[in-house]
Amino acid sequence: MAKAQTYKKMSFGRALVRYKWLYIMLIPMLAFYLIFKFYPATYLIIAFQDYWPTTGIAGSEWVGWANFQKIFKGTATFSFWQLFSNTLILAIYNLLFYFPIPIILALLLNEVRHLGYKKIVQSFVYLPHFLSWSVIIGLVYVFLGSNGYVNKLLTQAGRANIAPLMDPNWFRPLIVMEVIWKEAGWGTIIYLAALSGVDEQLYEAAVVDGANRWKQLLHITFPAIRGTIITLFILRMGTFMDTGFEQIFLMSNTKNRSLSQVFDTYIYDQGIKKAHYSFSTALGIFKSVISLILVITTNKIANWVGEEGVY
Amino acid sequence: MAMVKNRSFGSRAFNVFNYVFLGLIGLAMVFPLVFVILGSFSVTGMVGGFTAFSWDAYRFVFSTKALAKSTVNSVLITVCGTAVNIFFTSFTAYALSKKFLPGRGVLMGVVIFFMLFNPGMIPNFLTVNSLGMLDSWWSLWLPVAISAYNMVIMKNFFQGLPDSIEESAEIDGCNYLQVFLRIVVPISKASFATIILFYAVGHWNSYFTALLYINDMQKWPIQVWLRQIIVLSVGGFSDQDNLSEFAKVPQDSVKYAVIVVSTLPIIIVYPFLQKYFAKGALLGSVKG
Repeated sequence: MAKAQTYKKMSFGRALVRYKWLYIMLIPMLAFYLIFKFYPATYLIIAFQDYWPTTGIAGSEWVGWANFQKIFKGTATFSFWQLFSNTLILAIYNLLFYFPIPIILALLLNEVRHLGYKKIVQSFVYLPHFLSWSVIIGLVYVFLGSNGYVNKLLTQAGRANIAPLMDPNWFRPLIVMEVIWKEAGWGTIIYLAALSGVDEQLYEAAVVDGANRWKQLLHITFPAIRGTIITLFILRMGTFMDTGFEQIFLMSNTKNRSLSQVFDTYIYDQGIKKAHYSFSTALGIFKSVISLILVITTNKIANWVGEEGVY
Repeated sequence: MAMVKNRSFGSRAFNVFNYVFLGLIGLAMVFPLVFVILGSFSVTGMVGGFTAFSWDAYRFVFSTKALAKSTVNSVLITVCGTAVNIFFTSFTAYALSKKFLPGRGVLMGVVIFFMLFNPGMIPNFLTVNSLGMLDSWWSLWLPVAISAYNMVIMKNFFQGLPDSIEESAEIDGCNYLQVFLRIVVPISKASFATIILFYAVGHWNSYFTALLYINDMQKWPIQVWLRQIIVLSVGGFSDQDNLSEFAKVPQDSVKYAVIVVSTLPIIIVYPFLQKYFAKGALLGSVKG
């Protein structure tokens, strides 16, 4: 406290001298944020240009909203609605089929009273979280690929081979199953932490009142994690449009392109591969704006129904 | 929960179901890896089960220039990248842990702002390009030098240290940098270990940044080769003289071995990961 008071009286010039070494230690951080955060942000302006690196921002032609209009008009290779619906459907699939799984898993783990068994299960289900997407998609290919293990077994048994990775109908289910495999276990951590805070006496009192385990779950356990569920739901909305870029990029191929082309992969395709920098930057901005709207809307709805929300 | 005894039939039936179900889930999570590890040592690539043991797949993997080199690349990228991270992150975290420091609020505001707002793939790419860092490993290190999330965890840790240690050092004539290096770092080993693990796993698993910034195949990390070999099936065994050797080793075992090599460091540090990461995941979610 004494220090805080002296600081109020101290001019910034004197602080610079007094805390010289602390400011010197901040130089790398300042350089980092200037070069790799603020400086890239200035490139957002090229969304309103017909930008080319050799002419630079100063020398490139201004085109107003033309790049954004092009997003809605679409091009020869894509239509806006296809891109938008692919992104949206994958996000909705993940929300419907992935989001509840960690909650259920956490509730089941919470019912395990043998601590040793619980620990073992936990250390198994956390493992996939630490594997990279390229390893996980690699695993999917060695099992389900056209030369994969499953097909070897089918051939041995004299049965017809399968090709789910080349079948567009399997694209979305596979994406969701991979997400569940990788993240469901890890996702339980935050719920288990919330559950560990529940007062034991509540359960004891409930038993005395004749509540069975289902009733206890409904009236004690579930209310304890409801706030956490809502917070995570809103936070998820912020990354709703992100739809796991690395995963989708690795899973996409020429056969499933019509379903696997999402905002991020299209930005990569247009910006990095085809060097349409201005158009892809506009697309990136468009995506960020939608994400922002989604977070704000969800938070508003949460507040409106009487929950706390994240801000 | 442990105190509450409930002996109804429904309750016991549920317990049995629950233990079996969770056990199966747990096995499903580790089965693919266990299978691939076994398969990499199997002479038949597990077709017809595990019949005989052999090192051939690994001998082959490390005899190809591309894979051996990319494994070394991955190690170098991870070690140097983590060193860059620690330098940037620990200095920042220490300075920002001093609540009395004028200007701290503004800098924390900048950190939080860029936690929520990312300029995006193309602006980041154009920045790396304009700095002339394409095809250099610096592009894998510097743009991710500070993870705001890790920095905040470390800052909170430093804030929890008692002021008295530092005050006595100051009286002895040490400046803040000396206090940090001589006193704070040695007593914060656990915190450093956690953050080193966070960053190292990130670098080892990183795939897309390398695809984005590194065109030179000689500099690719193993995660990128993994896709070339397994997903794209383009072989990735660029040195032709080895192809005759490749014919003798079952292709599947080689694929399994590549997966094992690109996962091995993670498996080795997993016991530590579990301990520190669970804590970190909670810290991050509570403190925001």
